[in-house]
Amino acid sequence: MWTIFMMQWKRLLKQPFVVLTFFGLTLLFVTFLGQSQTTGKVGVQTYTNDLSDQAYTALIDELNDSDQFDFRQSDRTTVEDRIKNNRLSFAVELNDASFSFLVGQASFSQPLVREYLTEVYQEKRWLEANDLTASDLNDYIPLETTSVDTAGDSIQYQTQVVVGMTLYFVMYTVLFQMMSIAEQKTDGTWDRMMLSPVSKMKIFSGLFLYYFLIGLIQVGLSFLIFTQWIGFSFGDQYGLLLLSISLFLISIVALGLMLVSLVKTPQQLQAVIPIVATASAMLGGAFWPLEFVTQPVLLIFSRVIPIRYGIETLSDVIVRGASMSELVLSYGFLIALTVLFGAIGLFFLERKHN
Amino acid sequence: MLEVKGLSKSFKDLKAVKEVSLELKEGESVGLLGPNGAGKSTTIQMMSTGLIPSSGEVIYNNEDALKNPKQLRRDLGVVPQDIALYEELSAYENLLFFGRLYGLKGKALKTKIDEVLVLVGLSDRKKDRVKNYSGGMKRRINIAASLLHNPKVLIMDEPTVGIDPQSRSYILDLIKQLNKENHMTVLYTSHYMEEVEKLCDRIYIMDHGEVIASGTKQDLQNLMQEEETVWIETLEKNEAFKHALEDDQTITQVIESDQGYKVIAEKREDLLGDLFDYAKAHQMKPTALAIQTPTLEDVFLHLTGRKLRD
Ligand SMILES: Nc1ncnc2c1ncn2[C@@H]1O[C@H](COP(=O)(O)OP(=O)(O)O)[C@@H](O)[C@H]1O
Ligand SMILES: [Mg+2]
Repeated sequence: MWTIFMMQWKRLLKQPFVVLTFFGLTLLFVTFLGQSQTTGKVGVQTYTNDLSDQAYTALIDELNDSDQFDFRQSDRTTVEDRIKNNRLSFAVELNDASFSFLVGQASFSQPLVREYLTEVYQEKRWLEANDLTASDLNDYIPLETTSVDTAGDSIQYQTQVVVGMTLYFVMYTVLFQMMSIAEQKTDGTWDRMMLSPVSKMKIFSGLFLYYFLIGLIQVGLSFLIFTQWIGFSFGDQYGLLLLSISLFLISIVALGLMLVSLVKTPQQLQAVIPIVATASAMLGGAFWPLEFVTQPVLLIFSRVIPIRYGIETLSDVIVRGASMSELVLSYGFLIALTVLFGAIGLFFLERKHN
Repeated sequence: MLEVKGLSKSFKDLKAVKEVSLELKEGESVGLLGPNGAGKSTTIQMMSTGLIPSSGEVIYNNEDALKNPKQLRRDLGVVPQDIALYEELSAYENLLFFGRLYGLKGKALKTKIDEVLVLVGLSDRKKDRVKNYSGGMKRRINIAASLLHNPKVLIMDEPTVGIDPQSRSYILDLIKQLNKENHMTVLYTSHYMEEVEKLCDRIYIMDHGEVIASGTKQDLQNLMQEEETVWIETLEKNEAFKHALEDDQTITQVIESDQGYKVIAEKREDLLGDLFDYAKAHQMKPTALAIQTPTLEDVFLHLTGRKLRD
């Protein structure tokens, strides 16, 4: 088994391009998509009538606690000019007790800004009425504000991107590595292995371990790099994280086995892999949230797609800190798919040989 | 030593191998001769437990090798028809891997690899990647990979297809050496009858999935006792002459080649005289006219009415 296992690494070292390419693509896409979100704040120009410089700056700081908006100081003449020239759709006048909008044209983000400001001013008034400061407040009332909600959404989105893209590309890596089985079957090296006294069980174990590990390393490294590059946080449930990734990868190896057993040539497999990977990524929610898929047929189809459960369980662990009992159903599906794919794969591999 | 009985294999509707029985005795060198598509490779694959037969038995040292393939697999070296090597790795790395599959390791493995590399004459190129080898060198490493575990029986599937004459004669000499000096039992498959004639003690001839004749070269030639092979050497081509021969009831085959005609006909006293008469009648002057010992090619022709090569 180890002979087979080590051989795969040796061959990888001679031809590392495929693996490196998909690893690189993972990094590229996630960095790109992940970052476009963090710079996606709405800029809001402001000026004041009655606030002192100091109070004005403090208020702006407070407002900028939000992940969603980027409030900037300016003055009335400047913003009026810019609105007149259509270079700005609106601005906000921030005063001590109230705020008001200076609007040139309707804007998609203006209602969001209004809602946010209303909330902040209400809170301010309430605090002043009770003679408290913001830090006291945290002890009394768990305050649910829009800013917390949207932050949640953006973590959800980022997780979707990071997990979806990572799993999507690791599918390529694993499946393209498994293409070597199809190649070995045509060039005869597969028969050489099969005719040796080494048992089939050991050959498959060696290969399986390799495909699994190469996938695990890619996912692990990607995740590690994302924590550094884009400050992505994976929570602290490392056990469940590892379990989710592992079950997903095992199901992909089983899927690969099935594909290998169904095609006649490596060329066919080469054509099939991108189709399978991309289709399952689309239906399984790697490119967009599964909620976007409304076709009932497609939803049923997504039930037999491993990547769906991979993304689901990983997002749940990362975003919600889900517990084992909440994940058991998804894990069950993944294991069932693994058994199904694996059985079909082994059946046809054997049958073809006979 | 190794025997198959009543071996058959069907692929869907195609009966690739039909009721084939053959036997290798210890130390023998046996040839399996037949045109492309005769079912040689399929037979060999079943014989080496790589393909499960539709019916029939594989018996090794009186044991059922289909139920219990371990012993046979240990003792068997198979040289596949295609180059079964990892092209991106060096010859040496390939041999390391295949040696390990047979449980060899460490110093013993290294010594053995060096030994087979000398045997196939590629010691000085062992660190090169296989993909940079010539066709003949690949073939030789392909053989080397099957020799690492000192097989008692060596089965080779067309090991000389598509290579230069030099590599070819090197390989033939090597096989002879393995058989005569290392006492390996050899089954040699080919559609080149000269190779089989040169190498093998006994020969099986296959066609359309069946063994149609077997025995020593002499046995096979005796199949043609009733017939004579005559070689008519000439550089002229004469269609009328050829047709006249073909119309003769006692002549079974007329084969045209660049240097003349080969005629297979019933044995009789006046055959040569008749052939001269045909030539004269069609204004043709042969440079030579001779009775030949039949080749295996002729035997095949005699048995099937077709040439071996096409
Ligand atoms: N795996 C297979 N599936 C279907 N047909 C096959 C397969 N292997 C061989 N055949 C067919 O069986 C016949 C015998 O093939 P083969 O044993 O390779 O002949 P040979 O080695 O004598 O050239 C051929 O007609 C070939 O096309
Ligand atoms: Mg063949």
